[in-house]
Amino acid sequence: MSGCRRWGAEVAAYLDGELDEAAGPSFDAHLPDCEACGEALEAQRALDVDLRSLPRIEPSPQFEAQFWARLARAEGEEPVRGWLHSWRMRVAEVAFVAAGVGALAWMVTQDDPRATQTTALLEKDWEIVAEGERFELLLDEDHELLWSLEVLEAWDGSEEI
Amino acid sequence: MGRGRNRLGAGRFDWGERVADPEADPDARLMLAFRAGDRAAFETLFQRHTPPLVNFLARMVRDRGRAEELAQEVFIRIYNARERYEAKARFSTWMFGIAHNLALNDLDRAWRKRERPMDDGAETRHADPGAGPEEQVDARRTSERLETALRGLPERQRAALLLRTNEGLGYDEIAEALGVSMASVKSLIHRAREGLSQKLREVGR
Repeated sequence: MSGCRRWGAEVAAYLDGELDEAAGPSFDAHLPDCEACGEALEAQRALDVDLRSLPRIEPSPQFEAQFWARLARAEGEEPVRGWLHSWRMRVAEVAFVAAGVGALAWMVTQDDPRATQTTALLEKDWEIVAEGERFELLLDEDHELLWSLEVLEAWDGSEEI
Repeated sequence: MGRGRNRLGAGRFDWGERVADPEADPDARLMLAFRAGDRAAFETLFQRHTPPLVNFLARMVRDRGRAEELAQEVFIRIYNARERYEAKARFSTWMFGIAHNLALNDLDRAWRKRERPMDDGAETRHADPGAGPEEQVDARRTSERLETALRGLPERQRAALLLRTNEGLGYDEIAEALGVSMASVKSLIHRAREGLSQKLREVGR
């Protein structure tokens, strides 16, 4: 397709009806006088007919069932991913709080005998229960932890507790 | 990577405004219904668009098995994108854009591993069953030559031509799906047709 220098690259767009409004009529006027464009247009038109007559490649019979199964798996995984993420975050949060409470307990043991008991309980009785999305810190009800936390909240850092 | 492919725009769909009234597109309306919680709307979209999607992907990656996996991935992505979907383009343009990106990535991976995609005898009927034996043979030969020539085209040219000729997208929609300009689409299709004609002449169309 040696082609027409002026319009050669526009033949495809003309065939597809994609030439702009200004160029379309100009090409129409040019076409009867240009053998190269005429041949290119016919060749591309024939090619398009052949392309459109190519057999469609159909999905296999099991395609649909496979897709819905895959989607169901993907949907099932989402909460698992979310749960794992959440679980790790919660453990990190609990660990952070526990470290803070541990530090508090250490400070409290310096001069308060009740705090010694707190430390022991922290070592023995803390238990983190993870059950699905539900997390709990199980503590002895008589535990002095709340007292320690109150002290911590009230502490302005200006002096030793 | 040796194939001169411009990767710009291949990673994500451009949500730019190009369609005057995308909500006039019935598929975009279905997608909006799906976003609002109507799962049946998604099922309708899936049923309606699976055949053209698999057809396009199979001719892009030249392997029906891979094409089906990619088609499933396209719909998974559409499913997952429901909450942030906005009807800024025709649904099919958006879908083919995702498909094109996945196909290019797949071909890229295969090329890096030097895996040559295998044709798996996808169910293509190369002849009209109503035609006589000689016509059937001729039609089959023509189709096979054309398929071979098509496979030899650069990927973007092949994608642009297939979207235009076989899926009926306009140049503006192809530009959106491929993440290129309208001028590039015009050039891609022009070169694709010229290249295809050249290859067919070489094998004696």
